[in-house]
Amino acid sequence: MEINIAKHTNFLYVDDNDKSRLVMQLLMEKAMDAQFLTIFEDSADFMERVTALSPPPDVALLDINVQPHDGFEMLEMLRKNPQLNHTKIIAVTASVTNEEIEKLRDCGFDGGIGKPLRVTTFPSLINQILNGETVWHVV
Amino acid sequence: MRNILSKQTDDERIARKNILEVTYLSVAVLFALILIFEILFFADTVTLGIYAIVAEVLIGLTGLISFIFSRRGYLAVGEYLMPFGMLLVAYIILYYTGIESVNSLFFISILSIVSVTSGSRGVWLYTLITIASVIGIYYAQINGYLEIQSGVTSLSPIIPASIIAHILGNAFVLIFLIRVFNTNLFRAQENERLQIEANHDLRKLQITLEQRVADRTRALETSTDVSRRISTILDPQELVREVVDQVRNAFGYYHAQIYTYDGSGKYLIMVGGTSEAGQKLLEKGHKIEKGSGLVGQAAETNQIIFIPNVSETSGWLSNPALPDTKSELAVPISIGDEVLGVLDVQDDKVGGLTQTDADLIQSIANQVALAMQNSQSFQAAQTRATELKTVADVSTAASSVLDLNELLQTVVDLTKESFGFYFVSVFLYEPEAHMLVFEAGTGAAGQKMKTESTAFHIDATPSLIAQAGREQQPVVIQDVSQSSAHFYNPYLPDTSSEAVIPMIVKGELLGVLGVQSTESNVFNDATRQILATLAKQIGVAIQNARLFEEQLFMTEELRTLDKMKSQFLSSMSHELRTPLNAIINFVEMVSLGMVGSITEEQKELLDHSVNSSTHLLHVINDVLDISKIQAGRLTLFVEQDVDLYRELEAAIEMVVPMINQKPVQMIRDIDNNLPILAGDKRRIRQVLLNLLSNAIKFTEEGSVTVSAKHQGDHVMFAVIDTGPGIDLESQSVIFEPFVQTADGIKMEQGTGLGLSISLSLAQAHGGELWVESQPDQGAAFYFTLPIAEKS
Repeated sequence: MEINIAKHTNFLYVDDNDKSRLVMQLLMEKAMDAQFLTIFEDSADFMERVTALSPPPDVALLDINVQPHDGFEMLEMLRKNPQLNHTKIIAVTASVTNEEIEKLRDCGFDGGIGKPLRVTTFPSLINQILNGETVWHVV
Repeated sequence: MRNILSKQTDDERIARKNILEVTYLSVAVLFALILIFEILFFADTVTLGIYAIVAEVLIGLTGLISFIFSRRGYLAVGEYLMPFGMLLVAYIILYYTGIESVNSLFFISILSIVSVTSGSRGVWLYTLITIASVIGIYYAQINGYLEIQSGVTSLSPIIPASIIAHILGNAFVLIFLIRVFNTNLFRAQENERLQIEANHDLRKLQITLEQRVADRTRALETSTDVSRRISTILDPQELVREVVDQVRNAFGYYHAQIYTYDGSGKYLIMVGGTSEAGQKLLEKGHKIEKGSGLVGQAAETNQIIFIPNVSETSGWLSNPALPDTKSELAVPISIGDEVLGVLDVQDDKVGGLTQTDADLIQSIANQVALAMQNSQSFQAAQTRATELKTVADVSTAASSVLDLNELLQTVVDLTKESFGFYFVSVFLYEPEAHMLVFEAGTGAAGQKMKTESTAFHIDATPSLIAQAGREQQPVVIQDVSQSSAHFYNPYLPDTSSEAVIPMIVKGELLGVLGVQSTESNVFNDATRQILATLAKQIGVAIQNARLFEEQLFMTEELRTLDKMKSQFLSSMSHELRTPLNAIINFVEMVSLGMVGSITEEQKELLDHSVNSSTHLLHVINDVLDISKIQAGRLTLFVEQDVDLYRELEAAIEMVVPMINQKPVQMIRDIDNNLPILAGDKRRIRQVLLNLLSNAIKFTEEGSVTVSAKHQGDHVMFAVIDTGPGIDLESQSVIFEPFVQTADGIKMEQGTGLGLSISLSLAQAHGGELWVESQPDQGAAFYFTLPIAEKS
């Protein structure tokens, strides 16, 4: 049995869709037994709220289509903060055409997982990410 | 009668003079010798005594005197002196010897001498005097006035009669001889004279002939020279300049000039003239009315007009620029009955021009006519070549320029430039409005007309544009001043002739081509034909350009539609994925018992729900993919670390649940040395999944073998089943989008897009995808991926 790294990892998830937030919450709790998940319903005062987190997030899962700052703006803000250097920034999005995924990669996301997420694959993807692999996964 | 003392120097007298002089000298010498002989040997026995000596001395003197005078040129002196001298001697002898002693031979010999010296008249004179003397002395002796010397008492009349008969007979003979001689002499002289005259005439004739041959040769040489020079000149201006210069310089005339007909055929315009006078006249555009003056007459009659002396010709018009003209020659330059012009030469001497010159100039004029014709043919050929080139250029422009406005401007500019027209324009017909609308025109006038949106209703009058469009026939006005149909355009004040040619393609009027010239009568048959061809070319070009524009518009439209479709499908995908995220996950979590236990039946139903949801997701994915493929905008999301094992396992894992209920064995035949590739992981998996799920779907029993082999520069995947197989006909269509085989349709699963998308994805990776199959013998799908140099 391998050690469940996810259990002790600090996750941040930003999504303005309540069903998606619930899916993420259930996946983390029920499928991965992750203990530390912070969820933002929007991106208002994003950096203030992120820097207020203690400890800072190890993995930031960002929806792209979020108000008032979209996923790319949030990425930029996070990248500007040196304290968050080690934070993995992963896009979690329903915009999954090749062009859109390409754009995510070009803009500096560490990976991307397309919606819909799957109970069968999501935990292993997170583990790959936590193991330092680059994951671009769309079903 | 000749003058006695006149000096005779005629040739004919020289021979006679020589004869006479010899005679005179002979007489003188003979009698001197006789005298000397008598004195030396017979002085004592001489019977004639002193009389004979005196007579002999006198005769000798007479001969000497005659000789001396003759030598000095006075021939007549001897002629008269000798007979009288001889006669004197005869008298002396008769007087002293008496008739009876007379030897008639003596008289006869004197007579002979006289005949030689004094001719027939001397003979007659001498004969008559001698006869008279004989008769006189006879009677004197009979009557006792003179004594009879011989002692005879009576003198028989037979003696004088015999002497007279001798003398007369001799005289007759001599006269006859003289006459014969004279006649012969005369004949000889006459012959000689005639011969001399004949020789003279012959000589004169020869000289004349030589002169004429020389003249003729010179003329021919010059004309040949001129011909040779002018035959190579194709520029008409250079031709006439060369001809007038050549003619003037070669023959030294005062002036030479050439006139040709103007366009109207009423006037002859000077086109070439020598020296300053010619230059001045040329600059003035000197012209002569047909029929007027020498040049006009020569042109009208097609005859040489030759005036050797202008002052003797009434009505000769002096040209102030050529004040020294004394003779003039105007020769028509013609070919058959057609007069092309006139070659006119003038000289500053009366009679300076002769018939020889006329012949000469005529022959040169003939050459000039030929050269002019050549030149005209050449010009015509050159014009035609230029025109044809224009048509070709327009065609080229038409095929290369597809923007209609640019095309028409190019065409009108090209046409104007090539043909030297004043103005060229194109009007396009708008059938709905029944209007011919100005589209393009040359120069400032064209721009103005474009700005003013010049247009003509198809029924407008007077308008050549409308007329040509209405009648669908070319309209030509050779001289606008003679036509009421011409519509005066203030922007084009110099138009003299105009032609409008309709542009008709497949019976449909597209517009008209209008051309205008500053010269009248320019639209000959050849030009019209070229313009008609040009109009047709432009028409086709317009249609091409329109079709191209239409196509461009359509393509743009389609592209926009395509983009919209893709965008729509994109956002559709996005909008469906968010609710599917909730549906699939909530249902699956329940199904997996993550939120509380459920019954098997409930789980089964929830799994169906999950499968249907994922199917829906795949349908959306496929539709999105195919729309991109059809728009040619399929892109790959390439990563450098494609682990083929992982993708294979993932694909197999996803299809294994499909076999579970069927007696089908999944066989793996996968090399353990597969390389890491560059590629789109999701797409490679998608192709493998598609091939595997198809195989399992169609295989009811047996096996599905999945193989992956590293083969040189590529990896080959194969999915081989033991299903019903695919006939050849179906093989050719299963890669078409939306196509499903009969078996596939029976399955009631899939969109029919899978293989088409897979093929495109394989090709997008630079690989291949194909099928090998026979009915009832299963099917084998092969999929290759190239291995990039370093993965």
